[in-house]
Amino acid sequence: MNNQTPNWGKLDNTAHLFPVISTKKTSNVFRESVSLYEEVIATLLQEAVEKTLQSFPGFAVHLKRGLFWYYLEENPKPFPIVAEEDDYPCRLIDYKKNNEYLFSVSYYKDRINLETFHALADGVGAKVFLKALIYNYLNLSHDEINEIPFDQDISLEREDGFQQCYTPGKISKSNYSTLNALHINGRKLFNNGLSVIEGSLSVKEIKSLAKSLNVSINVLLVATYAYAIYLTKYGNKKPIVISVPVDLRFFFNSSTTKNFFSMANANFIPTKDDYSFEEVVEIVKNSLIAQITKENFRKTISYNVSNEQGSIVKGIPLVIKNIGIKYTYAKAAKASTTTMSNLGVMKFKEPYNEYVNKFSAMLPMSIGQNIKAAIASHGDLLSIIFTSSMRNSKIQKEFFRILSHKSIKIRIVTNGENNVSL
Amino acid sequence: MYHCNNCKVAVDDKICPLCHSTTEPIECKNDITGYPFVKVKMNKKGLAKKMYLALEALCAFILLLINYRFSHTLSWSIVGLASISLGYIIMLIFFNSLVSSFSKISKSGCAIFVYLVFIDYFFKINTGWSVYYVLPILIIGETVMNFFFTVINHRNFQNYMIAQIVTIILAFLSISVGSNFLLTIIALFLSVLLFASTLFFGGFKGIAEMRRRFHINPEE
Repeated sequence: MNNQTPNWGKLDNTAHLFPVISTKKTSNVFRESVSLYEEVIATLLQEAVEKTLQSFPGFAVHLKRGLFWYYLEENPKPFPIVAEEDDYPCRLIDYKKNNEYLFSVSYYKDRINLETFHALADGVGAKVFLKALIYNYLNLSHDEINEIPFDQDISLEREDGFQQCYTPGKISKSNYSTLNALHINGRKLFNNGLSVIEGSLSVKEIKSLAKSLNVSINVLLVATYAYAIYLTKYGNKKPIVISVPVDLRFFFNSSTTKNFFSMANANFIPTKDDYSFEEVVEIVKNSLIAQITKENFRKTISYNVSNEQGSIVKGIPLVIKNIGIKYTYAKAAKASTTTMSNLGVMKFKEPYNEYVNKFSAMLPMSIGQNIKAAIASHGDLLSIIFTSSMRNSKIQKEFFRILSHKSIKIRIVTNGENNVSL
Repeated sequence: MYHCNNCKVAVDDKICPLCHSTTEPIECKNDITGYPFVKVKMNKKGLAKKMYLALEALCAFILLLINYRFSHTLSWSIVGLASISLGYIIMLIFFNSLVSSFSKISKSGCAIFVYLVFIDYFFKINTGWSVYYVLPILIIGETVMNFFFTVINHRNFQNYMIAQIVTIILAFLSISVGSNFLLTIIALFLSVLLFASTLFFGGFKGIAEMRRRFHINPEE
């Protein structure tokens, strides 16, 4: 018998959730893409992925089921052949076809897509991997580029940020919302389809609008989203709750590529008949400012990690734990209307930067959330992508109309799922 | 590119994807790549499942009708229904592409055992044979199958160690529920022997696998 033992590692605190709640409809696979100014060459991309994986052993893993927890183990299989995109984004990864890797790479014309299962990394972690992949791809496709070794902007760290920040002691009370939020439902697309509506706009323009309202770009876009939902669901009195993932690396000085984020909720409860856009911006701003504090996140981390480390929880077999996790998640999902995630700016070193046109991201659907939005930017190009499992695109229409009426120039590209209204 | 006067946005189509009104062509280079057309793939497995369910419902109705018409009871038709359901469960198990062949056979064995227990206690004739004979025989069968899978797939022998532990636990359980003593002892002996030899021949890799599965990290 072969005596070489593969390396293995525990999942981070948040990652325990994803293998349990993932289904065909709620895949927990998110996409990050980089568009170049040239067509992608498949063979070079394949080579680039293999080269990148050598630097990121933390991504060359597969998910295994233990008696008490899932865990990650070194994957001895080769990475599968990189294919041209031919399906909806954010599909559940077919582990057999994908040689059990927890991420997949595809391309379409000038775009390179990285789809990552959330148990492996969060948006920022995957962004680091994608950046390294683009560096490697450009090194291979352009002889004129003198290869620059990875430096501080590429972190290979795979520590568990939650465990690092957790201080044992008094267990904080849960500060998870128990609101019964508004849920956006509608006629679904055929065959688990996913509609993609992408708006591209200038960072300068949106920045100046945000400045005029005295808020950040993130707050402005979340507020616009809340206002679009409010206008679409006019007369609704239920809370509109937009979950905003917050990168904890900044607060706790970490550079891990594992999951290290927490959720803040932008709450907007319509109590009167007519709200102006500016009023909603103010409400959302105050709601987010109150939650995005280091102390708040520390409490959330303490609560989550202490739950994981409790000796009773540790001793419960995985099969039973999974039932509890599914129940708790389904209950928590009621407190949120939708999600808007800001992946931030993707910066490349020179001379790589001049080959890159755009950075964008997409989110998969989850329980109770049939529409989500992701923001990403590169240079002066900001991309906002709405993914939805519904035929109706009223919210997306309102969102872009609000911005265009504020003199923001927007270009819309879709995957055609919402083009015909029947 | 085109311009939608309603939404005041530039779009890549003659029809605005947001408001579905017609757009006007404009002089603007589109440097944003779109998305491929997705061909709808027929879900053959899903179709087979639905067809089986429809057939099951039809059979169930016919069985219940005939049974009630001739005997005014529902005795044997219930068994028929249970058999059809067993077939459906086994189909679901084998359609799951995410699990291994070993897991499929093991799960099917469990489903068959539950079915036999149902038959045994439903007819109330010589009650207990399913637990007395079938349970230890199934454990022996599982152990033998595990042995063959371990030998054939010896590079990944560690994948079968949890199943070996489960068979040991089941063997102990079958003693406590009063199964045939001789068969149970054979089942227990074989399952313990298989686990012990896997640990012995597997060496460090086998022990490491146990640490992994039980989430024990020696570095902590």
